[in-house]
This record gives sequence, C-alpha cells and structure tokens, in this order.
Amino acid sequence: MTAVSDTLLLERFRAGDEQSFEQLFERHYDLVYGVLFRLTGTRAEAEDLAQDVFLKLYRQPIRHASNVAGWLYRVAVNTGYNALRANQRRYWREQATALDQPKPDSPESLAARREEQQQVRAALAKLKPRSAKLLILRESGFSYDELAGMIGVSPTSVGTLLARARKQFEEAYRTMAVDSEREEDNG
Amino acid sequence: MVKQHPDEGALMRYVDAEMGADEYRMVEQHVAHCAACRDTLQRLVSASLQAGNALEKLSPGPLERPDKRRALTALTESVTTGEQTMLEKIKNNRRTQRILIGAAAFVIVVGLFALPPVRALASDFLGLFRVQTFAFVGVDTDRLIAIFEALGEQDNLFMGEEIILEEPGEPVPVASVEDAAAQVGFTPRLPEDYGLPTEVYVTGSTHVQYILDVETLRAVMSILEIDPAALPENIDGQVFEFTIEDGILMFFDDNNDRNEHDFSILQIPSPSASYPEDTDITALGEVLLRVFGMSEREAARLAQQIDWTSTVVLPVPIEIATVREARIHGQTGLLLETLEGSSSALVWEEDGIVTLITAETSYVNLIAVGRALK
Repeated sequence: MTAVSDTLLLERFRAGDEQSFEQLFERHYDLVYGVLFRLTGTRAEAEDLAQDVFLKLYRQPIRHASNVAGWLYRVAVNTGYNALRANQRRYWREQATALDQPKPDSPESLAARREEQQQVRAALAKLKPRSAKLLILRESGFSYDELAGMIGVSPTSVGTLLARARKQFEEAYRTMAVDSEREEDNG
Repeated sequence: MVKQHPDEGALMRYVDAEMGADEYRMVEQHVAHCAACRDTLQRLVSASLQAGNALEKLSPGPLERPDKRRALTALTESVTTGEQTMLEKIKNNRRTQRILIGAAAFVIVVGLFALPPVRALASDFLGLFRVQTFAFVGVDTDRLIAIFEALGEQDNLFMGEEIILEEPGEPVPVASVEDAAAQVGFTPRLPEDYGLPTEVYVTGSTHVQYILDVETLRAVMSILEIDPAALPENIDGQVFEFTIEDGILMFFDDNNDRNEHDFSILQIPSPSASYPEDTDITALGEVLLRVFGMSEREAARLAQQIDWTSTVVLPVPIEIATVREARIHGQTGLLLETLEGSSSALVWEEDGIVTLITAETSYVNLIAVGRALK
C-alpha cells in the first residue's frame, strides 16, 4: 500500500477531514518533539512547544503545501531555538544571583548529565542562529536536501554551511569546557 | 584522479555520505593523493565527530521519549477549548490591535535600522538618526501570514537575530506627573481642558540589536516572489541597533461616567536607530516596501522620496485598520483606526518627543486631544 503524501493529507484536512490532520501528527510528532527536546532539554517544555507547532499548522494550514515536513521542522527548530536562547539568558541570570545558594539534591549521574547538556546548549546559543539550527536538524537525522528546504538555502551550500557550523561549535564548546574547568578550580 | 581540489563543502558532503557513488569515488581518489585535502578532511572529520558526540548528549533519554498519544489528546483539548493563534488574537482582540498599532513603529524601525556592534563604537559607524517623521504602508493580512510562514514563526516579523541588551520591563507607577518628569528628565505636555491624568507611569528604556540574516530575508522574498537581486550587497550579518529611552505613560478619563471614553498618552524622546555607515538604507527600504506588498515601481518611487534617516514606516494591516495623515502643531502624524471602530491611535513627533495617543473607542477625538497638548 502506498502512503498518502503529506501534501494530500493537508489538502484533505483543509477540506475538513480532521483525521488527515491526525495522520500528519502521527507521522511527524516524534521528530518535531526530538528537535525541540534537544533544544530545550525538558520533556514538559518540548511537549508544550511541539503542541504549539502543530497548533500553528492546525489553525493556519500553510498554503504552499509542497513541503509540509519542511515547514513543520523549520517552525520547530525556530521555536526551539528561541526557547534555547531564552533559557540560556535565564540560566545565566540565575547563576549570577544564586552563587551562594546550595544546589538542589540530585543523583550525581543525573546532575552530571544535566551539566554536560547545559554546556552543549550554551555552546549552541553562542553560534549564529542558522548554524545552531543546522546542527540540531542534522543531528535529528535530516538529509542535506531536507535541510536545504528547511533553512531556505540551495542543497549545494549545505555542506559548506555545515562545515562552518561544526567548526564554530567545536570552538564554542571547547571554550565552554575551559571556562567550566576554571570555575571548578576556583570553586 | 580529479585534478581540481574539492571545496570544503564537497568534502563535508563526502564525510556525511551525501554524494552519489561516482562523485564519492572521485573525491576518495583525489584525497588519497592530495595531502592538503587530506588535512582539510581530517579537520572536518574531527569537528564533525566532536559536534556529533556533544550533540548526541541532547537526545531524549529513556524516560524522555515522546508520548504521542498523550500529546494528541492535549492538542485536541487545546483545539476544542479555542486557544487562539497570535494572528487570530491580533484580529480579534481590541487591546492587541491597539498595541499592534502602537508597536508597529517599533517593529519597523528595528526591522530596518540599527547600530554596528560594540567593536565598532569607534570609526565605522555614523548612521545614527532620530525618528522625526512617520509614514505608512498598507499590508494585507494574507501577506503578513505568508511572511510569518516564511519565517517559520507567527509572532515575529524580524528577519534576523534579536539581541535584547536592555529590556523595558513593566511600566512603573508614579505619584504624579512631576515625579515622572523628574525621573525621565523632560516635562510631558498635558492636554488642556482634559484634567489631570488618573494614572501616571514611567516606561523603561529599551535597547535592542538586530543582526540582519540575509538568508531569511531571501527566503521571505522568494515566497513573495520578489527577485533577491533587489537586495543591496554586503548586508548579511550587519548589526542594527535601536534605542528607546524612558518615557511617560498617562491615562486620562475623558468622561467620568463612561470608562470607554478613556484614553492614554505616551511620550518618549524620539527613538534613535543606527546602522553601519556603508549600508544602502534606501535600497534596503525599497526591499522592505516590496515585502509589504508594493509594486516594484511604486516601491522604487517611494523609497527615493522617503528620508530613511529620519522616517519610521509603519506597516498597517489594511483588513484591520485604516490610516490617514493628520496635522498636529504643524507636524505630520498618522491617525490609525480599527475598521470596526474599537480602537484608534495617533502618533507624531514634535520637538524631539514622540507622542502616541490611544483610545479604546473612536468616540474620543484624538486629533482634538493632540492639538490640546501644551
């Protein structure tokens, strides 16, 4: 049996068929959630934002429906990236005001994982928006052609942009790690 | 063996296995005999591995996997309880419409103009200006939706990265006009014969940088079928900066027995905006006019007429509001009214102060209030 295309599902939904929307949801929710989880780091926030993304599609079904998946993941990565930036700002504000407060109890392995994730996200937040979005989308498993559609560049430029993004990330991540070690030494 | 060196992008595609078998073999053969390309490849592999390993840490853990069924239930509930999108809120909410009208100036200025980064405090920045005039361009809601879609988010019209250097915060109530004046450093004008304000607030200053993202702007232009060649060169990554200083917000009760006759007056020093000296502001302004729906010819003509170093162009959604010019104390301002008459706004600049008067109804004659300011 051939799967019905996203475009056809969206057309049916726009004609009033709610089940077609559910099929689109079934098809894309996991990846949309995955992109948002990587950028936000919490299940609750990723779920809320994923809901916003699908609500946007529900309320204002896009008119240029040739690439529904591209639209969904572009909206997801933009939404997630904005949340990442906001979370980073909040994180640094809290760090600045809570230096003397004891850290909440948590199992060591969990705390270490959170700390590692925080460093990765902090490095992402330092990159140019397009670079950060490219890295997350590539990490989520999308091909160069799909990435090109999502961020609005030609497929031939994706390699160059990814090479640049990875280099920027490597530098930013290294700086974060050095800063973190220095803080530990001082602490 | 391929004599020409593959560029970095091709090597990256090779690393990511994003090329056809023939090209893959050619690159492989070339790299086997070219030390320089091997070095580049090594570097790319190393950066890719490091990025991949780090980003892998962000994947959902076993307890964080998506729960599709629960998410679909939540979505269905949200749909049936009638939560609105940003655009629907704009269309349906009177207060939002007023804010939209008031904020349009802010949106467009930060979208167009700004400052160079801190590093350029010295020499390469001269394009500082203050808002002196307001103009408008009608834009239809479908077009706004298309722009929102192209940007991938419905509540943001900016085509670039926003860096908020200073957030305005909530307006702070003060006891009197005199107290507000002492805090902000200028004395607001008050409308004669309308009594004293019932509430007075000091509004905080705002300082925002915008880094223009040409790729996003191109994507928007492509969706709107505008030739990207219209964009001036060398504008990618240029930093624009926008500053609003502390202002005074006053609420008046025009008629004591009917709340809907209330109006508010906001006065702030003319916002300043700046941008790198080599920015072709007229060309950029022309692109923006076209994004908002003007024909190529019309946009070119208007872009030449507008003094982009002192004018704020407001995009006015034509399905929501009407707009016309109004003369206040010899200055040209804009009077905006929502179509169903639920709110109105009047904005103009005079002696270095921008004044915005808003009312929840069209019963208040904003022009009369504006002219009564002394």
